Amino acid sequence: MKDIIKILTEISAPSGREDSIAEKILEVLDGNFDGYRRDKLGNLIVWKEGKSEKKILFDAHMDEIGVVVTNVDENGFLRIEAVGGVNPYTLVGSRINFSGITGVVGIEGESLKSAKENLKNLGFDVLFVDVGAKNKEEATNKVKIGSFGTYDAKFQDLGDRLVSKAMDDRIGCAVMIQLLKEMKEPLNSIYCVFAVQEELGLVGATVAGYDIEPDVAIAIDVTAHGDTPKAMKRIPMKLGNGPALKIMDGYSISDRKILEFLENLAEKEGIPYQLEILPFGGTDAGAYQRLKAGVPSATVSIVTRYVHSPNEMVDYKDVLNTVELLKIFANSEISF
Amino acid sequence: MFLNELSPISGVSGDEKRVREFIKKTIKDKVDELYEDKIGNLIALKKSKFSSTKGKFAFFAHMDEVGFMVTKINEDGKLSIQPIGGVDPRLLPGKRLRIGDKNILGVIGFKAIHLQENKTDVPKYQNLSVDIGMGKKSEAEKLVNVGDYAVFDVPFEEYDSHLIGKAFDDRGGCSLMMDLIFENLALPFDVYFAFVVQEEVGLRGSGIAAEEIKPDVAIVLETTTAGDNPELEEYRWATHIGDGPAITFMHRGYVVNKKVYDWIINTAERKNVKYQYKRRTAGGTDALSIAKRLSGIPAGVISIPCRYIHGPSSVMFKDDYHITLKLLKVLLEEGEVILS
Amino acid sequence: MKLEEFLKLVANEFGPGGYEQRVVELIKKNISKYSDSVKIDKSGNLIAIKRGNGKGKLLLEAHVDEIGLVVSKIVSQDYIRIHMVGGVDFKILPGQRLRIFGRDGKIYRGVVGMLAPHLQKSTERNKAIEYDELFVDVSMNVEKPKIGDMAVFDVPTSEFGDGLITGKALDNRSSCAVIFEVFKSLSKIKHEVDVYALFSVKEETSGIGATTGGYAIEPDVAIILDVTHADVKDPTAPDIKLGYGPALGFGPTVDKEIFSDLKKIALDNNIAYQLEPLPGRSGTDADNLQLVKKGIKTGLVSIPLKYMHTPVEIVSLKDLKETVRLLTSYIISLNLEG
Repeated sequence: MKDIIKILTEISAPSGREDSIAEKILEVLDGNFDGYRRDKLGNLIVWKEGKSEKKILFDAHMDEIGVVVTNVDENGFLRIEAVGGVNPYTLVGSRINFSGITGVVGIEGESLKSAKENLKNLGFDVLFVDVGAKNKEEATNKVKIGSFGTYDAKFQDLGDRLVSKAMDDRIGCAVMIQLLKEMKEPLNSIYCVFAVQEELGLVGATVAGYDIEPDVAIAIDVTAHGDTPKAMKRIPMKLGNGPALKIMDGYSISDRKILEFLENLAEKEGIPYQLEILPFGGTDAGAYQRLKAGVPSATVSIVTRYVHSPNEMVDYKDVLNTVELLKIFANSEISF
Repeated sequence: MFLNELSPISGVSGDEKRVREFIKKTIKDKVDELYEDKIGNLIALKKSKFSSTKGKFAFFAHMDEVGFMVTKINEDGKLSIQPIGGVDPRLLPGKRLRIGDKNILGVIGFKAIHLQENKTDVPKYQNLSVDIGMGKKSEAEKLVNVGDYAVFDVPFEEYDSHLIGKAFDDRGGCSLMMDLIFENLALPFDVYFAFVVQEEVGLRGSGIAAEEIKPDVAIVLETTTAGDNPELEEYRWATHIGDGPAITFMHRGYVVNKKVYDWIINTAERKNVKYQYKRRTAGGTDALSIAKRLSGIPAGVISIPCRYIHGPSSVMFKDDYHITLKLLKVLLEEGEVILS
Repeated sequence: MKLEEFLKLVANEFGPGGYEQRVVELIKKNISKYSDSVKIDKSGNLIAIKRGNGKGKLLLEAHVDEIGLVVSKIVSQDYIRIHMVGGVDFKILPGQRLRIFGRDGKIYRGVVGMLAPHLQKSTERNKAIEYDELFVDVSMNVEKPKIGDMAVFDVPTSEFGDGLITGKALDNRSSCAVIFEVFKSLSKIKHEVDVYALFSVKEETSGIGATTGGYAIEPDVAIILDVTHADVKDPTAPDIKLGYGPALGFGPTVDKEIFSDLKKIALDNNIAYQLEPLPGRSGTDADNLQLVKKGIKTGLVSIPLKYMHTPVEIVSLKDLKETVRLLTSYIISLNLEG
């Protein structure tokens, strides 16, 4: 499974430009499904028929945060804006990959004082990107206005811990791929939605369930951590303590029945788990719960350090345990 | 062009009826179907002359404009107001308003400069009020009601190459749709025109119109902010006057569907129609609420660049309008590409 | 049961976003005898139906959830950290007593603590205490609450002043009590429309219940019942006072015809009412419900309330009773056939 994680995280596919990752997911799935389609907004929906009447929707978003080019000046420097929640501080000193073209990030500063001030109150308006072009024409030949880019960062296996860009949420995609591969004959039908444009506001997930009309929806996404030096003191989650069952975040409160069902499953099967409260942020579950007359929805999270940086870190055992828990869930008799 | 007639009409979000009636009256003989939905969107259909049509194409533009609502009539006969949509209160001192169905004139004064202790006082809604020439609450109540809508009282003006007026955002888009309806083009597929309500208070009307029409592809026609002024470096301009329609690749909450975006850009390139990129990603349009309806509707955005939108004196370059209209016509001619 | 008794009963019950089961069951138990059918949907909404003669479908909607707090982290045997569920101002928290409802069914006590002022630096002393500096003392419990358990203010609901009621969760249990009372009177009155009551969940956190409930019911006309700020000092705020009757909302999110019908009913029947101009969105479930499917015609009736989202909210019983009269008269007048 580490190979799959490496392959998925190293693809560059920011929100709105997900074709490359969708193709790669299908390739990795290697026919382990009963059917698939891309819907009108580009969501990749892959399903496996079950024996029961129930339909479970699993969701992980396949887009990642990135940047988009908004201007190219006379000397060939690019201006960029954020695609999703990119912290400008993580861009300083980073490389950006624009579909194979590398750019490096610089900060304006006409005096030592203004350079210091710009760094202190860093925003995209004082950043520029250098693609090694000497003038506008050379730059525009490489990267046009409207081109999208992502962090240029590699996957690294640190043993139990894995580091990469875009763990958010390729790790969720990897979990769903593994589920599809390992579940030969699921009890309930499972629909895996590899959603688009989550980072911009749950765009893909808002429409993905419309035709499926699932009985229950589970979003699989990353969440923040509270286990590094002076980490946020109201956050309880720790790397390695198992899948995090979300109580609530900024967008949604998990359906209580699903939450308690998952809790009981984990207890019964001896799968480690933890409970999650995230005072901000949100997942695609926020979209599914408002679909039509309402779909009971919850989120199962993988605790991740340094979310939205080029170096997001997860615990491999958490990932495996998430697969285990969801596999048992998909094979359970449910009454939602 | 209908902008000269559309711009002066009062039609703040939630009070679009006059705009809707004008459009209805003007286009009713030119369309195959015309109806109003529950929330007040006006939907028109131009059918294709060909029997085997491939799908449904829809244009959207919003009828509403930003403005004000009277929230209180004070004892001294002056009115308190709050904005509907984003109107910077610093624009208000020294302006005239038209209030309510009776079009009552009101003026917004500000403490005379000689009397100000602090000359840098910032106008806020809390320290502004509207004077309708009445000295008592009971007198004022004869002319206006709490809840009356108000707009800037300004004329529309046309010069050789420029237009000045209020509410260009988005009567510009409405005018483009009316021009397309009047062109009597040989349409290769059915085209819907949705004149929608409540865009300025959170992209509200368009989603319902989309649910009604169920289009395969939608294009939102907007009037968008031009930043070409001496206070802003060129690289910070969202758009500018004189280089034709602005094409959006991404805005708040939505990356424009790649197929639709590529189709617009490629068609403009191929047909040699001048265009520019919308170069800032802040702000949203109805494309967001349309894209998120039903099982997803690929939506794009094309805008006429315009200076000082959301104020009493927007400035538009006529050529930009006409080039935008030209682009829309070519897109319709080539539209089968996107519907197939 | 009298209106004020029912209000006290439901206001005292526990029900923050997603955890409304107790209060939903309580209302269900009481409203059943005045309804033709009652059910709880997949989102957790309670839907009660009182049939008329099938001449159209009217929806009365009120959110049933309240603001609350959630245990976010266990610090030690004695202390926990909390986060808000819906908009709870941290400034009202220091010194507050809490009832913490465990998911296991047990009820725990808690006291919100902060660093004593004399131990703080003088520069710190003038600042509000934010969530990160607050903690809840749970030392008095033998068994301890767990992450995810939710809490509400531990305050009684009391009558005081000139027909006023103070307590927690009057936003929006006041509206729930009004609908209950309307259903009671409908059992004695002939009406043509079918009346649906939707007690919706998760308004304070996301407005989901009204959206999903409205989608399933698809009414011809919907009246949203909520509370609104009374006695606001801002010079641009509308004049809404406690005791002067329900506030009829109007603006983009409200259907003009419903608004003028309600106003006419009030005038014809000598029912006290006030006007609430709403530029832009209303901040209530009306905003979401109006946009369901191909659009739903919505009206908004709000009960004036002081000190919203605190444990000492205040409403006037007179306003509640006038709201009941307004809605009952409106229902009798309504025939949505054709």
